[in-house]
Amino acid sequence: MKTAPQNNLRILVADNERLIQKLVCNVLVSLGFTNVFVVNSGRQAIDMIAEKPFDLIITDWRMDNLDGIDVIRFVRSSPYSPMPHIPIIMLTGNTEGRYVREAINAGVNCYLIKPFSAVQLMKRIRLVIENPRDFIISPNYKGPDRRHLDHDDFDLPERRRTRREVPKIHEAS
Amino acid sequence: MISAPDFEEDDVQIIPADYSLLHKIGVTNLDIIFSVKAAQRAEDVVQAAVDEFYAECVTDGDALKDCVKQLKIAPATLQESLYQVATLAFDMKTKAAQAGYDLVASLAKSLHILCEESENLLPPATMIEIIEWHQNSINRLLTLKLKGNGGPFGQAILAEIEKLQSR
Repeated sequence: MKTAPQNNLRILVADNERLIQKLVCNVLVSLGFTNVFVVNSGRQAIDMIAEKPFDLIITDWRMDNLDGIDVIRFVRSSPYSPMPHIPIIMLTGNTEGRYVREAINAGVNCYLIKPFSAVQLMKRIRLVIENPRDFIISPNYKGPDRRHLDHDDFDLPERRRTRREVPKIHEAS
Repeated sequence: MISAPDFEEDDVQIIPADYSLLHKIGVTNLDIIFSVKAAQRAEDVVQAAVDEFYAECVTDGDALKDCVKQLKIAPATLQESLYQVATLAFDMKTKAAQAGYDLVASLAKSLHILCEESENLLPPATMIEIIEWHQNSINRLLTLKLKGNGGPFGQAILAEIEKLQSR
């Protein structure tokens, strides 16, 4: 099979389902992501994150021995987390809105529901690489800016007055 | 009307977006990595996995059948078995959906919700009966390899669901 040019991003995949692990890995490898590390549980993911640097985490929600939400909370908020700003994509069968909200409030960057297509996964990976968001640290929340959608038409007095302009460095090329 | 406070005023720290991954990959490479050809290659990978997902669903379906058999022999083990059935159903939901068996996925989801959220709402005998009905329907759909909504057979199953709900 002809493959894409290799790149050196280090990606951690956490999923307790062997077939999903294999599928995600094969999709990533077919895109040229060859530094893919796989773990079966939230505990293993946390141990791996504490040990090695990664550029992206793709995690399932339901896993034995600490789940995906525990992993996100560790990465974003633990004093032992070596990389609180790392992009995290949650890949899960939990489809209800309350789960999506919980994941967003825990600090996930993107939420992808199983069954997923390769294109859906690609779009989310590209999104976190190409359009990273500001990182918010507040007393109640640590994670990517949850108000990432640009609603230019919203100009009521309640709108926060200060908001940084995000530099679009890639536009020139 | 009072305006919302500035970020600085309400103790919020904003760290500007980090473009280091984009720098690491390079903008030109990004277009190659996520090209239409690459997408097609990746979709081929997903399609190739479908047979494996189906085989795993059949294995899970057999395990579910064993659980129901065990429950019928020893109904008192219902509480302990619910977690096992819920786990099987949750795994099956994902795999069936990924393999294109939408109705199997829906039934597995329904079974998962039943086991996780209704454990104390129904008498044990009714619970076992409903679990067995789900298991039978799932296994029949898988045996007949009825993808999507299961065609006329799927419609019959949906009609049975309505009957069950009305009870």
